[in-house]
Amino acid sequence: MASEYDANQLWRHNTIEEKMNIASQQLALELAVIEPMGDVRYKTDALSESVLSLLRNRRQALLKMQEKSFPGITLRALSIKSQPLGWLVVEQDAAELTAAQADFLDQLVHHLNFLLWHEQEIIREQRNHREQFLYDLLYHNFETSDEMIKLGKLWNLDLELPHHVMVIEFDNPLPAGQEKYFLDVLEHDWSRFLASRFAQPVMIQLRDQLVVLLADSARNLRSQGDFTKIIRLLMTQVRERSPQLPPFSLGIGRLYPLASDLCRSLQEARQAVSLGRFRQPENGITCYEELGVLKLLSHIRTEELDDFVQETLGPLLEYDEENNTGYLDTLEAYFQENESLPKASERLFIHVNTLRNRLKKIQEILGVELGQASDRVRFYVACQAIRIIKRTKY
Amino acid sequence: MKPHQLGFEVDLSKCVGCRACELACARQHPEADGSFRHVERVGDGTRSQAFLTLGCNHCASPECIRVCPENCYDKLRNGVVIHHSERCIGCERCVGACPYGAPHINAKTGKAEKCDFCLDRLKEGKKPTCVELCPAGALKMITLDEERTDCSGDPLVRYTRPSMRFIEAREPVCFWRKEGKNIHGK
Repeated sequence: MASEYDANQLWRHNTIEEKMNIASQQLALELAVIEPMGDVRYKTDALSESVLSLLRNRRQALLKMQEKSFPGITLRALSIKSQPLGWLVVEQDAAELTAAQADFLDQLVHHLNFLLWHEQEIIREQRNHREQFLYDLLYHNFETSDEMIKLGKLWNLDLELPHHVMVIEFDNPLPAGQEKYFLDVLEHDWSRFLASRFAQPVMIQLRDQLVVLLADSARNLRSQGDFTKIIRLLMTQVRERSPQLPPFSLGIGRLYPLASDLCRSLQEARQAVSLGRFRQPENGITCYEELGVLKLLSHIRTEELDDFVQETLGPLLEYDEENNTGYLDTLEAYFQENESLPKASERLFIHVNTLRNRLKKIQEILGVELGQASDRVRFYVACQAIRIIKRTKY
Repeated sequence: MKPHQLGFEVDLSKCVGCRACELACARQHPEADGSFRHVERVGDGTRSQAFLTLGCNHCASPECIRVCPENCYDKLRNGVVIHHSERCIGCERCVGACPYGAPHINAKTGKAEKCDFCLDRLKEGKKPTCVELCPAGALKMITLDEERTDCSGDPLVRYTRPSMRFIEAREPVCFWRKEGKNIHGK
């Protein structure tokens, strides 16, 4: 006798959702697919909430496969080669199912087994491509943010949260062959210390740089200053643990809310680590936000910067060279310490009055008043420019 | 595909300034507003042959990616930086930010455009057209995976890390035929 249900219909549809809907229509039963961890993968529209709440309440029993049926519900285990894939839930008592309905459900189970297994295989394959995924994420090599957020979940990466991007790079070129070794040590040490402060730090080596992604939960959004403080502390710990590591510096990009802006933050972090060396040649931490005028100066040709420095600080440079006085260093320290005389004198290991006298002398040589804002800005910019020139060969 | 970085290598001794690369590029991209590559005369004039062919350097840290407000730029796994004109609003930020002058605005479309490393040709296993049609063999396609950019140099070069390698120009060598020697053996 021919069955009243046409199982061939299942072959004409490709997705779990379509197959479930067609089965539900044919059997006049409400169905759902539950994932191995107990979450609902798909349910037909009219499946009653009481079925789902019952399954939620008995989740532990379900996960342990202790119970294969519940009152008013039939459960069919979905698996392939002893690999659990979930359950097919039918909103009807197993005893009330007709033989034809049971046959049809058997067919549906085969279809679901294959589709779920296929999905898992794709996921497994995608997991093997973590490096490529992170590369695509950091270089905006994707169509939509949603696509990356979905893929990120494969590695428990919540890309809906804003992420800090940090770039770590050795300050000096290393001999061939040692770079990879030290980069591995750096990655190992940083991952160890970052794990104590951040949930699931993500790291990837991009050529000679170590790129770190750190999620910042929206509830406890850290300010850039707080974040830098934590990183500075961790850097000290990494240094203490591996003193053999060559000098390295860090650059930190701005925090953006969207995953699509991670590429921007990466470039900012790279710019910060590179330009930060003009301020602190080794073992520095630089935030992109703090680069200030240095960012603008980096776009000006070094020859032009040199001309500007000679025009502005020329007499001081000449005086220093003739008398070995080091007034330029005094002026730089004064600006670095935000024009604070006590702090600048401490930095230079001199008395405050000595610093006052030196500044007076500098003003005499340059023929300006440092009290004037326009003069102060001009000399501050010149001091920044001179750092670029000093470290640039042209 | 494992991420790697494609780039160009220019042998400055071999470039004769014939502009074949420019023409090849313009022919390959007829929809573009001119060529994505241009040849410049360089040096202080002490050397007779001093030309430099320049296009997009497909930087390791591209400034165009950082500044584009519409996220029009992607960097593919082979290191090629591509521009999606459909998203472009023609704000010209990339034009101003690129230190190498690679992107320019197409006067007809009002959108930015730049070298795409002849991506269609790469997919067919061919080299970019400028490389293929350089008669002197001065322009080559290379992979720059293992190389580290020198920390010295211009600040922009330091952090953009252009995927470009130059072979410095050697002084031309003149060979003179010895007097009285008949090269045809007659």
